[in-house]
Amino acid sequence: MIDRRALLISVALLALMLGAAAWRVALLPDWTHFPYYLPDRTLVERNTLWLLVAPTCVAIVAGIFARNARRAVASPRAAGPWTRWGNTLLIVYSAICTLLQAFILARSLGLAPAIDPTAVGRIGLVLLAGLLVVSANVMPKLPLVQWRSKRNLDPARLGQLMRFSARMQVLTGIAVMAVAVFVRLPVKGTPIVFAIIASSILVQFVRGWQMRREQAREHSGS
Amino acid sequence: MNLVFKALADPTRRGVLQLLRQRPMTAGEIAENFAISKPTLSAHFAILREADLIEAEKQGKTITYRLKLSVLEDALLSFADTVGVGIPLTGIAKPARSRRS
Repeated sequence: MIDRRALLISVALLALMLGAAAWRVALLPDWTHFPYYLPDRTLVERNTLWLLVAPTCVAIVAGIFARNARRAVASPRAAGPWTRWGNTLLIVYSAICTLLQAFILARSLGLAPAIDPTAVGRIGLVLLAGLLVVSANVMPKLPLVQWRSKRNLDPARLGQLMRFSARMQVLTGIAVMAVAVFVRLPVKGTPIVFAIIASSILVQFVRGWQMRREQAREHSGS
Repeated sequence: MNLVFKALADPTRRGVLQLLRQRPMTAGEIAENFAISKPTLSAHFAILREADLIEAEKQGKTITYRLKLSVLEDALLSFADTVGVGIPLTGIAKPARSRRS
């Protein structure tokens, strides 16, 4: 859950990223590609769609938080901690993505030539994964909230699922950090990172589905 | 963090946390699993609440306790149980006579 202030800040950062990308592309003769300087000052062409990656990531996360805020059924006592948690997570995430976008645009303009883009990519990935680890670590301490759904879990199972999800997300964050530090980016590392994240989401989804099925069986049996 | 280590150092308190892993429980349901007096158990609850490892919710005359462990604290609990001495959880209510004696 998030409040309006955090949503406005993330939307503002999103607008900033898109505006900067649009400005850069508008200066180019060919809008489908933009120039990108490698550390050895070699000029390569990158597809313009890469400038939409960071804004899209922020838009997806902000959208998920905004949607959850509308779907959650929580008392003011329970909503407060979740809102603070969501606000911090969304704003820090948006800020990191904005910095990465700024670096890409700076390289496109030939600025910051000495900074190794692979190192920046690693640092960005470590920061994002670290954000996941820190936020998921405290998730089980937050009050339980239910959703506007007919398939809500009972409090016991909801607590178990939250602890399971939090553990999976912490492990995912640690694994992604390890890949960012030790594996060659982006050739081998990027598919591995996507595979780790996709597996984690799938496992959590399956576990939630299993628990709902167990609960439904118990209720139909009784 | 000192409060967390202090809370996890005691096997009874670790036993309480292990019980609450299954589901939220009332103080009475938890007490059935331990052969100690209620005032002593209440003291353990107070230490766990001070360390922010459990949350108490009053519903009428009963207090229901819910687990409130972060992932790191959960890992510390598992580690302390693995390395330390835990109380076996029989899950069987002790008869009042044996508790008094």
